[in-house]
Amino acid sequence: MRIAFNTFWLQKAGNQTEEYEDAYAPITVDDGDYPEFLCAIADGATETSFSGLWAKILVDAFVEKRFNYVNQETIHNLSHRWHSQIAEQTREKPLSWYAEEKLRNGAYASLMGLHIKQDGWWNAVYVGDSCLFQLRPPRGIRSLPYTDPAQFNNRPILISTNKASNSQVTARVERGKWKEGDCFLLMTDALAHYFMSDRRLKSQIVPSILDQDKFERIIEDARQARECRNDDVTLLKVCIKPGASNGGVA
Amino acid sequence: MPYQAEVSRSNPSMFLFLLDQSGSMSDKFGGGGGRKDEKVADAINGLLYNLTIKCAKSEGVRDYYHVGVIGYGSKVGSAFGGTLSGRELAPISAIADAPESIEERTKKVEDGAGGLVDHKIRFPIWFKPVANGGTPMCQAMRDSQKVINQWLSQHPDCFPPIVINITDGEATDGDPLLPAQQLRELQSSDGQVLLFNVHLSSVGGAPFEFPDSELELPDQYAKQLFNMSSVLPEHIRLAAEQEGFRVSPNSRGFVFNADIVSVIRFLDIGTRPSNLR
Repeated sequence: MRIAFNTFWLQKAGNQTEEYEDAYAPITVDDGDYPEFLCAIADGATETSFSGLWAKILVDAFVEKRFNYVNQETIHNLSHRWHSQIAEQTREKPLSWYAEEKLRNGAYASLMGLHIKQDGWWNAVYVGDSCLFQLRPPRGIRSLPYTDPAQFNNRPILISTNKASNSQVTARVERGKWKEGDCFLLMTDALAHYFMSDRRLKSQIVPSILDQDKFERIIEDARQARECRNDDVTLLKVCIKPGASNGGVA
Repeated sequence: MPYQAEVSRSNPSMFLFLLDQSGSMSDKFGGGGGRKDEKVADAINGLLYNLTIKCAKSEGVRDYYHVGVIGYGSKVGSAFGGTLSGRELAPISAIADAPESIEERTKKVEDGAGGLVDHKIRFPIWFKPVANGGTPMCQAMRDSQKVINQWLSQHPDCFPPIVINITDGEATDGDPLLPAQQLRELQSSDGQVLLFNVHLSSVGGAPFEFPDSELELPDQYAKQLFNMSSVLPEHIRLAAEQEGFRVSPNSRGFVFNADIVSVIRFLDIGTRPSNLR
């Protein structure tokens, strides 16, 4: 498969760059031929601490194929990594009462992972409100997990480092077929909501000429116009170029 | 549409808590279990605890809110003690770092296997029970107007201030309906001030949470506090509904012999996982 891959992101307006709590993986990819391709985005919840770290652990684990399914055992193993990294960061300093309580509550994040296989199929594994759109220009042909912007709310069920909170978490798995020329867009919730609400955005972000500066201008303008909610936004774009060695057939 | 403003560090909102510290608060609480002044102290400490936790992030507490606490009893004025003594308003980060003491308490938490386990937590105490003098609630409402007017002049586009009045309901300096109405009429560009009331009554009976009518409330004081309270804005009502409260478009920010800490969970500062305990 010949893959063209790009990522774009912007932290919430008013926040510092280091306060960005979405995550994506891989960080960079050379355009080229791949026998399979894995990528993921995650969105750390505002109301929880160290959620950006948790989001990063989830996406890295997905692309490194350290889990195929989100189950209790997988989450338990990954949350160990979260705990140990925080213990490392906080070892020098006693925790305040609120930092201690916040850590006990755990971190929470959504996940949308995409696995494109050479046999013409793709799998998506997801929890929460990060979204995937499959485009077969000029149309969109698949939208996960939502198909309508009214389905978004500010209280999704997310994957937690806190075991007790994961009893309600069920990861969904969907599959579909891809074709040369298809593009997959993975977006965190505020951007996905805007994408589904405003048709103009598709024509702005699908062309290959999109760069980070242009992406930032699009988002800043949309926030200013109150068309895009002020939140961290992430766009991960994967296009399968014509000339795939074993191109899929939809 | 009102009540849409984003709460952020660059556009913070404010809370003002009014604590009834009158002599009648030493009476027993109708819901059982202790005196009313102890319930007031529990309520304000619980509210500040939850507000701090809501605003805490990896690097510390973010000042999404500034907070004032006015006590009314033998005198009316700022109830803060210690390093915050005399301050009308303080950022939530300053409050987080200035409790009078920190107690160790036991909290029941889910164990992930359908059961509950005891967990020790550190619980900060900012306020201890006080019960002395009359109930100058009208004066407290008027003093609140001054504090909020000053805040609004500096933050004209903020999410409207929220006032939570915790009382046994029996004002001794007049009818509080008018000053309450004047308080609710103050506004930012995003809407009017929200006034919520917590009635800790010596009268027993069923608790009420966010009722939409005064009809079933047990006495004149409960009815009066209900009528002083703001109707819940839509996003707060929807959040309450999502958490299992029975609410309607006419529900008001009023609870009778019940806990109002849940209001903190209804506030929107960003994504709050619905499975967050």
